[in-house]
Amino acid sequence: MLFIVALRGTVVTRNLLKSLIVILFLLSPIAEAEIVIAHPDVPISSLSQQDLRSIFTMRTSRWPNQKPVYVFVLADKEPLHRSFVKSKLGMFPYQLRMIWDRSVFSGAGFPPILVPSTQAMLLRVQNTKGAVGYMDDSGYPILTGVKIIEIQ
Amino acid sequence: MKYSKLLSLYCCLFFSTALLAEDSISEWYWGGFITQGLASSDHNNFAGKSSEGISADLREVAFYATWRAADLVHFSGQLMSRKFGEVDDGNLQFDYLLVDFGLSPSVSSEYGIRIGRVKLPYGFYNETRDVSFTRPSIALPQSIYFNTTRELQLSSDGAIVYGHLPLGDMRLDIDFLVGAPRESVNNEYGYFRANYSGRFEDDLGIMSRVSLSDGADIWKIGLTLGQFDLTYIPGPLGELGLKEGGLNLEVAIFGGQYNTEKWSFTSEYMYIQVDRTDLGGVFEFNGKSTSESYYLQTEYRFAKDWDLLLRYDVFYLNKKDRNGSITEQRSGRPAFSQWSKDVTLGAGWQATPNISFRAEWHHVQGTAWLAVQDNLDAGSLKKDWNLYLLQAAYRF
Repeated sequence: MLFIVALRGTVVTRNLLKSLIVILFLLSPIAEAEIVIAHPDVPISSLSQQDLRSIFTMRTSRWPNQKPVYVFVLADKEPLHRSFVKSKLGMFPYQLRMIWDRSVFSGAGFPPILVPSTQAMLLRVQNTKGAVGYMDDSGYPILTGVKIIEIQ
Repeated sequence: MKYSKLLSLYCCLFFSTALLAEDSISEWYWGGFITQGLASSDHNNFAGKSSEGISADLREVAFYATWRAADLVHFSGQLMSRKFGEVDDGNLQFDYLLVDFGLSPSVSSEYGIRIGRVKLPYGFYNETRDVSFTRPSIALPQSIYFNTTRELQLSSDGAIVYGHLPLGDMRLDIDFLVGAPRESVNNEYGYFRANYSGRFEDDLGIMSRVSLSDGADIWKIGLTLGQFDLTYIPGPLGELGLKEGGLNLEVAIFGGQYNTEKWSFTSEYMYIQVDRTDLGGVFEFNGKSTSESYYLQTEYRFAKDWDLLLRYDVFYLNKKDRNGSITEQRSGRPAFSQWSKDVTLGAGWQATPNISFRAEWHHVQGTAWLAVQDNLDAGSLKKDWNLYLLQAAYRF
């Protein structure tokens, strides 16, 4: 910040300052955070943690308009998956895996859809009606074509 | 003119890429697994002739498919072959085959009905007891997840009504099933300790389970209550002087679980009352008995992809004769045939997301839950014995 204050005054530095602020805004406040994203058609813009758990444990398989929920996840061992499950769901990845397997192998429900990368996650959520997934903060500037779900 | 041409070209391009970009999600889901086990014991047979060396008669192969036919409807089925000593012959069977109609009134609640061959809501592990990666050990606590009368516990042909709903910050899961349990000679082994010329038919079972957990499944408690009415039709040999009649079972299971990142603590208690008095013969005055089972289990995930298991599992065939002395006096059968105490130590390694290995050692006293089918010579059974199990599993 001292650096910015020292350069204040000229038009060039003013523009520089603007872009710096934009960059700082994009990176700092959401560092280490995971963002829940959904297809723009999803009829919901905010979810409670309880709702989020119901969706990501696959216990609820439909949105309130009764259209299917398609849950996209990264592999169990991926750091982003692990941090998402811990911080946003308040659960552990092994629990989620167990809940999915028990539901799927008894005919009760559907497995989540596995994607290989965050780029694939974004692309699939952008293009799949009813989709929900997650991204990390570094994905924030390019999050177009998806709805960011507020977690209450 | 030039611009309009360009515009239409743009529109065309935009439209086609937009169409291409719209993902077509497959409404078909499928998968399966192959599990192979090895069993060896110093005395008494488990899953084949384990006391005579190493038995490989311990195998589970299954394939499932689920199809979302409409927003509110899905079909699902699983074909399974299970080889387990003389208890299961490995024939292909439908483990479940059902249609599910459901509704989700809110994001955190769902209700519905499943019709067809459905899995029994029974304790914590029953629905996927034959799916190795959903069990904490190679052999589930045998006092509750029997191998002898397993067909009664496996699945039923009928209907199940279910609901998942929030209760404040907690969650309530409810299942209620009415159906006909799968029939098998294993039931005769379970209730008569032999395969007679008669058979069970027109069975009906009712089973309900309620579980309550905090929203994150850190803790959960569950209560299962059930009742089975089996009709026994005596065969031409009329063994034990039995006549046609009903065999009634009443089951209650209460369990609790607590999970942390590294630890899971689980315990279940089960009570089964068997009433055979209606069958007359030897059961006319002595046909009612109540068995009691419980286990205490700890899982420790000590490193990434590795876990340890420690469990103490107890079974009393007749709670009025826990040490078996009355049975020994009356029938001459050894007292230790009436109870079992199993201390299990196990370890597991998730080698890749698809491949896992487990090993475990059971130090057992008593023979009450041993399958008669694998131990036809009751005289050779020993009170103190050890069982060693290995398992490799692959899922796809």
